[in-house]
Amino acid sequence: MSIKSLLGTAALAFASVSSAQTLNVYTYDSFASEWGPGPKVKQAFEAQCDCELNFVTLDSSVGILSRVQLEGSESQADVLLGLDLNVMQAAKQTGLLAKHGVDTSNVTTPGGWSDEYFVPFDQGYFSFIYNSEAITTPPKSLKDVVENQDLRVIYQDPRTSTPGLGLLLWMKAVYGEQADDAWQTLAQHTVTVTKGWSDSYSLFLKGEADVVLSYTTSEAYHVVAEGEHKYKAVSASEGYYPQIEVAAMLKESANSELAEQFMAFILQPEFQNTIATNNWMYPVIEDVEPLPDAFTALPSDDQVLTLPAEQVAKQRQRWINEWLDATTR
Amino acid sequence: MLLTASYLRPAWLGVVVYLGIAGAALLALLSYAAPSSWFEYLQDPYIWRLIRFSLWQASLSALLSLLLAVPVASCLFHRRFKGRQLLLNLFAVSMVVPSIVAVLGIIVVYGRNGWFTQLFGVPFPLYGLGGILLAHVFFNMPLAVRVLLQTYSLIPDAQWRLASQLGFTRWHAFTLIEWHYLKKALPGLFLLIFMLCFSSFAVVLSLGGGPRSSTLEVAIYQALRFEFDLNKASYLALLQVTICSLVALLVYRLAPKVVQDVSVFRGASAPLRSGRLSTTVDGAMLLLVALWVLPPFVAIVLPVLSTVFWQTLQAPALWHSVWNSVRIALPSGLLALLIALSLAALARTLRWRERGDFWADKFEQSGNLVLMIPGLVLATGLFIVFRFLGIGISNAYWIVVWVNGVMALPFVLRSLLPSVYQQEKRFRLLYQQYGIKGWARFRLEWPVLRSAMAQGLAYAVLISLGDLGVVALFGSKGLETLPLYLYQLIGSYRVDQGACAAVVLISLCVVLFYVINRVIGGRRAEL
Amino acid sequence: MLSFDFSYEWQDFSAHYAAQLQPGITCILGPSGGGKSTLLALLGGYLESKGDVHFNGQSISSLAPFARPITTLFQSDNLFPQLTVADNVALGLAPSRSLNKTQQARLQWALEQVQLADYELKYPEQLSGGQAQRVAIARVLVRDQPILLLDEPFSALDPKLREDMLRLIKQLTEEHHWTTLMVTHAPGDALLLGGQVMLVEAGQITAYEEAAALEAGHDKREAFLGYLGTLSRTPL
Repeated sequence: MSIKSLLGTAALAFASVSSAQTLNVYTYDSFASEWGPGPKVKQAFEAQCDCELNFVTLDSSVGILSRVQLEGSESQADVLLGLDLNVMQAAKQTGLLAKHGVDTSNVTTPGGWSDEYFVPFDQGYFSFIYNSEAITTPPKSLKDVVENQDLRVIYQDPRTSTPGLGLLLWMKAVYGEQADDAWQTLAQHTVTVTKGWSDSYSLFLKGEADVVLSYTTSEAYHVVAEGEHKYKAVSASEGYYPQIEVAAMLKESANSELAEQFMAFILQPEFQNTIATNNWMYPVIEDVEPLPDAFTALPSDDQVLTLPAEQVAKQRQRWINEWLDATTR
Repeated sequence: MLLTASYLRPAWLGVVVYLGIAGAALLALLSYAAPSSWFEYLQDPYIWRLIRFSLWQASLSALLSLLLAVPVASCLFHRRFKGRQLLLNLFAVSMVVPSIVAVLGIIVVYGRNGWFTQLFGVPFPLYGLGGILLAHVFFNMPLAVRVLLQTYSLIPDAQWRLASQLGFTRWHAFTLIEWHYLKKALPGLFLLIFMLCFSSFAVVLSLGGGPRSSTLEVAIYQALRFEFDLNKASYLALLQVTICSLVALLVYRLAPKVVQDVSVFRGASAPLRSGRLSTTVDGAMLLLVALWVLPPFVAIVLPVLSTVFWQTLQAPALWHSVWNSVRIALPSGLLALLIALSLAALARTLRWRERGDFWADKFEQSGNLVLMIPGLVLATGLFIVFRFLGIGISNAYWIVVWVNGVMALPFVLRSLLPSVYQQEKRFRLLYQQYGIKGWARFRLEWPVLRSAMAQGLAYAVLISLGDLGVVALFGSKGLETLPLYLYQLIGSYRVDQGACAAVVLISLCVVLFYVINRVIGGRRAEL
Repeated sequence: MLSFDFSYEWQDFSAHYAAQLQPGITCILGPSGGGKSTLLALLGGYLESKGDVHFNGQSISSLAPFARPITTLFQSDNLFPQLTVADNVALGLAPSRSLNKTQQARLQWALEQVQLADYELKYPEQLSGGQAQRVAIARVLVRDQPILLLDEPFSALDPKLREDMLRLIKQLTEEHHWTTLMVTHAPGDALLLGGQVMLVEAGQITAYEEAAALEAGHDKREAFLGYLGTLSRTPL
């Protein structure tokens, strides 16, 4: 009987081929987890599409892209949900994506949205988080974080994590040609640079650092989910660097109509209402239920720094090398 | 002709399943390689700084682990005390503790607000080489102790009988008897730990204190995941294989030749002269273990006492991930055992033949191959092979099972080979005379080999249970294993629940390790 | 005088031995599985027994093997294969193998006694079976304990070689006033060595006589007939 069930699961593993009624969405793990937006999104979309929404979960947003690149034209993915601003260019260049026909005019991302391949589904801003009970005079800008030698800092490796890459670009946007000096200054009071967000944030919670690179919405998480008010986000007087998460559909999708329907669904309130307190990011449309108070108002457009995607794609490796040089000197 | 015997066919099948598939995966990856561009990569000064650091930290980690493991193993071999068995069980589990959990355990003990700081008033210099060594010794010293204890069991009883009659102290016994056997096991063990540390990833980044402490594996990860640059990834993987092979060559050149002893009888061991010095050293070593390895373990299992633990246990997703983990770990453990038995069958056939030793060594060492090639690289190559063959790519399950199984090979071979060689050397002539081969021989040897096989299987199952990297790459429905679930929890701010899931993972490891050893190893099984 | 009265139980096997032995050689005969080697292991301290062992009036039963006035020569594996001949013998003088002048001389003397003076630097695997046992005897000599236990140490040797070894043991026992017990399967050994014979059957000492009792026509021969059999009129 146990052998039978083993064979059964083996057969299942071989047979998990998408049928016409199943929409395969590749996403990262915490989106699809039981406490993420995934289950609610699935329920809401299935109620209107008469189909099955199947999440295939990868470990990270870059994981989504590399999986699709591995699979190439034989990918069973219909939609990729969870790429971000900084890998958009690379994703486009694979030639695997299809243009969407969704109207993105009501999108509230800084500067508006007009990309024909990608539909944004949430937005957030990188920020350093500190424990207000441990720090009496908190930093007020990125510069404060970089230059205050008494501040113990943990951030993520730009080679292995998206927030890490976000910081790299933020530094570049703020410091420009002086970025390498800034990195060197920061390195002198850096506790460590971890592989991913989880490692550094848990080190921070254990008290290993004064500030950790995360998102402005981390503050909201602690307040709303835990009733904990001591964790605060460092404000950034120079401007915030955004993370915008996007979705795209695949050219070879066997269910392109369904995929298109899902792409449009992303900008519907049923989808957007799940974002704030499940993915701990901001929605990208205005027509949503009011956010909990802990979500501070979004920075206005002039408080946001962004580097053009083409430049990021072209210079990324050079900037990573600059960071490596400055921090290992 | 020796190797074409029909009873060896299943063994060849095992070798093909291992080396054939691994070769295909590597070739698939290399088909994307453009060696002309490698010259440019070779000039990257950062890569060379990183290699220098990796060589340094991996050698130090391996040396330190062995330096501590030798006296601890000697003490655990000679002394019987309450808690000894529990300690050995914990030692078996230490290497599969997910790196983030181990790091958090270490933080609780040695961190800024940790027990060490509270006790001594000053923080332990954790970030940098110190922290890396601390963590690597935590992972590998227990492994080394277990391997060395296996070596101890190869010392014939007659030697202890003589030692007792001649009034040896522990020090005499160590220099005259134990060292003679240990020194043959140490080079291989050094290499094993060296390679594990050379490719260690999350730990080195978390505790390294900045990109100065890094490994080639980070660069490989970056090339595969962020840049999807298969050319660069294959260059880096080859570089890693080359460096590890060079180190292996060097170590084996310096290593004494392993000669298998025949006369092994297990019986009551005779008492040795016990001096104040040996008691002191034993006590000090046990104290060191109690202060170094045990506190992070205690910190890791401490969440059992919290209410969050019981809430975590009630989540159906937890049990679902447990089931997924077992569903992957058992088949991949079995696969590892079958491949190891195949390699062992060929190696024993060749061993002690004219010019056969060379090839027997090669079969043995081929098991180490996977330590040099990152699992991520193998899995990616395999994925390309699957795509090329047009086999459904959604069958990530089998890729994960295979890669996990292959990753465990070095450990399974280490458990299995000594006993297999011993049987071969003692009974080879009898086997030849009476034509005892294949299945008949297996049945004959089963009572003797079952405990070694059980131990190998248990190791393999544990390694697969603890694996994250490969599963993460192919994560899809049905593959949400316990470590993945754990990372999901921590990745969504639920650090406490993640810590509780870690306790479940460790308990699962301990239970499976015990059950496999008891059920398959029989009552005489060494745990 | 060596005297013992102890019992031992292990699974189905239970044994009880009691005897008093004067210096000189005693050969232990008896069927396989009768408990001959067990008796030696109990005397040597390698097995736990209930009861007492005395030597010259002192109880030695609570002593560890190395503390007993006893040297055992085992059937095999008497040498450490990883050490040279000289080192193997030196262990009998000091486990640390650092010898002073007197001890050095004693080592030389012992090797000469067993005619292996030129073999000092050889390893056990380079020796024949007889030579290996002679090295072990050299160590017995330097260890110089008054009781010698031999557990069929020469059973694998050629007849001529075995005879030489037995004569050597006999000579040494007499010279040093040892109390020597030797387990053997060959009644001829006992006749060659002289001294006493002891018959051990089913965990009991069933006979203890002078060696001549084994010879045809001896009036005490009855006691050994069950072991010797009736066919072998001449036990040699």
